[in-house]
Amino acid sequence: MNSAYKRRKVLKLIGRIIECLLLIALIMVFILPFYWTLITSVKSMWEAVENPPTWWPREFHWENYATVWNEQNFLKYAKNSIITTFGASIIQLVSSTMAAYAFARLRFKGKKTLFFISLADIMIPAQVIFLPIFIIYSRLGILNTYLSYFLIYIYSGSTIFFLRNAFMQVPEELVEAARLDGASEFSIIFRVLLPSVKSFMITQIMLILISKWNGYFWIQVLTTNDHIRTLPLLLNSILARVEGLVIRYDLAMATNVLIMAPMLLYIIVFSIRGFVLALQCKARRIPLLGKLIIIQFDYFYTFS
Amino acid sequence: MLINLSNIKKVYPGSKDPVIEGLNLAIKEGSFTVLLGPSGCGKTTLLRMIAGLESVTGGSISLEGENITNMEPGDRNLAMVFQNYAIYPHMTVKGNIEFGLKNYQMTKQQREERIKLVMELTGLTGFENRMPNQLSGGQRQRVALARAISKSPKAFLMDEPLSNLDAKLRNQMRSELIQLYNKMGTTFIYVTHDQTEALTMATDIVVMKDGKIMQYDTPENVYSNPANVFVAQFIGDPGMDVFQTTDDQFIGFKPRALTTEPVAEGVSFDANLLTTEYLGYDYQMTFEVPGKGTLVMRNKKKMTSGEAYRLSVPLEDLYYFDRDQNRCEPFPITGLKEVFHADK
Repeated sequence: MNSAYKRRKVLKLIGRIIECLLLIALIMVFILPFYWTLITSVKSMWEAVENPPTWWPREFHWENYATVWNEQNFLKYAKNSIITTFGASIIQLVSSTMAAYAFARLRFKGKKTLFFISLADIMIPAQVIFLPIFIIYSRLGILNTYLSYFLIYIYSGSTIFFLRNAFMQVPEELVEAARLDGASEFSIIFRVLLPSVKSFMITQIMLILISKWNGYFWIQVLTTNDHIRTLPLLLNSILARVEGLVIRYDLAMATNVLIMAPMLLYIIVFSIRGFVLALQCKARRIPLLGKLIIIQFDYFYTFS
Repeated sequence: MLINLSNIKKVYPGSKDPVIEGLNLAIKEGSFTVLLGPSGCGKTTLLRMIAGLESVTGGSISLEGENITNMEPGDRNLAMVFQNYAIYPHMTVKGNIEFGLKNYQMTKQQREERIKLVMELTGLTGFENRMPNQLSGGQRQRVALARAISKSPKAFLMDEPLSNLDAKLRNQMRSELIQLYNKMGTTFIYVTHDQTEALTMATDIVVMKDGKIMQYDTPENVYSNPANVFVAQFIGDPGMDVFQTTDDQFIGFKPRALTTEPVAEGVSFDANLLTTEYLGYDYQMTFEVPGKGTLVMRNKKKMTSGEAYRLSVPLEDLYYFDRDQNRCEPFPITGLKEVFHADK
């Protein structure tokens, strides 16, 4: 009886240790790229490409950041990044919200067909349609303008799909009650439906903002000069530059850190909150490992 | 008349069969009209058409003489209380009430006055700043009522508002609704499948079946003067026992009219007692009439299962229905064919 109890305790301890080791390994997998980016950004040009690599910079070249900030049109690209990120996100959210509302709540002819067509957007990769879009935009003469970029996001099948599903979770009676309360369609969307799916919206907004901030493909496609080019393209041009047969990984990583900084800060703040929340979920009895995997997955998901 | 429905037809999109067809109904001003019927009889559809939440396929609806058939729900000046309360979860109690008032362009002072009034009327004073998830089911229902009252509507539409409450609370809310109705004097249109609610609260009952009105009358008449076999069997707990006669007419009687005593004039038949259920006030017995089917009896006297009895109904307790199942003058009973159930 007593020995069985002891054995169970020992087994539990071993399980706990394995859990912790797995946890550490997992954290390493996620943390390593960030660590690598950070240390490389302050290495010298030569140390950055050394083989075998150094795990700690021999000397700290903080001036890498100054170089990027000053020399590479950084501020112009940053301004473009901010304008395109917020502009496209707002446009995508507003148009998708209204379309999702129509698909979720209104009755009209051809609703199913239209919804199916809108879903097709998720299945067709951008790489398939960028050429016709490029040609159309070039004939319209709107290449290298913010407008061209915003037009791409005026429609998003996946956001419509997710928002529609969220709206459908809201009981029909709530919408009907609002209608009887004399609310307009806009009032129903913005004062009844959206607040009812608040937590879902926060996640969506976060994902959309991050995807725009890191967006590369469409900006690349829609530009022939650097008039509206954004930070990820700056990174690309730095990587393309070779000085004495060496790619400037140090500068590239410094740029990377600067690009990541706002989102990283945002996510760290949210992760700490999520971490606290996860630790507080005692009622759910999720093991610590589970909680951390959830957090890390969230972390990974937002960056991928 | 407050609300006039004439020749109403409703076909849901994608289906061919109308849920409601050729329905006429005039709802009296100041009445507590209950739409009563089994599920799927079209009572909720009818209420939603009055509210404007459901389109009308044919016919017209008028409110105080004005045609409102195609009017927006918000312009009809009607208030509705939903089965699941439908109070806005992200707004406080006060916010819930204020939302509608704001949409009607009331000034802040008017709103405050109105809110104070309805809070007192529904006994919610002190709960203004609570969120809905901090309220009990009964309190939520009160918020829904307060929201409806605050608009001073021409009529209140209620769609089974008590069905989500437990039995005790339901009885209490029922009595409060009656008090509210007496205080306000506004028209109530109330949908339910619960005949107790209908009989206790209504001034007028509309019994519906398959989109048709079976009887539109006072609770007393619906209970003791059913217009047809359906109403006779639907109303009452349990409803009437009905025999089809050998010439295909029908006779019915209340289960409490059945007796084991011999009667001078009336109907008598042999039956075997299957089960006896104790219901507190009296017993409910289920009998099998050999070759004719089962029927129920209510009696204060406990009877032993498995035994055979001779049951009788006095002549004055019999109800007569013609071949179309409508109430008719007494006719000579030729013989009993089988026990009839209208809903089967």
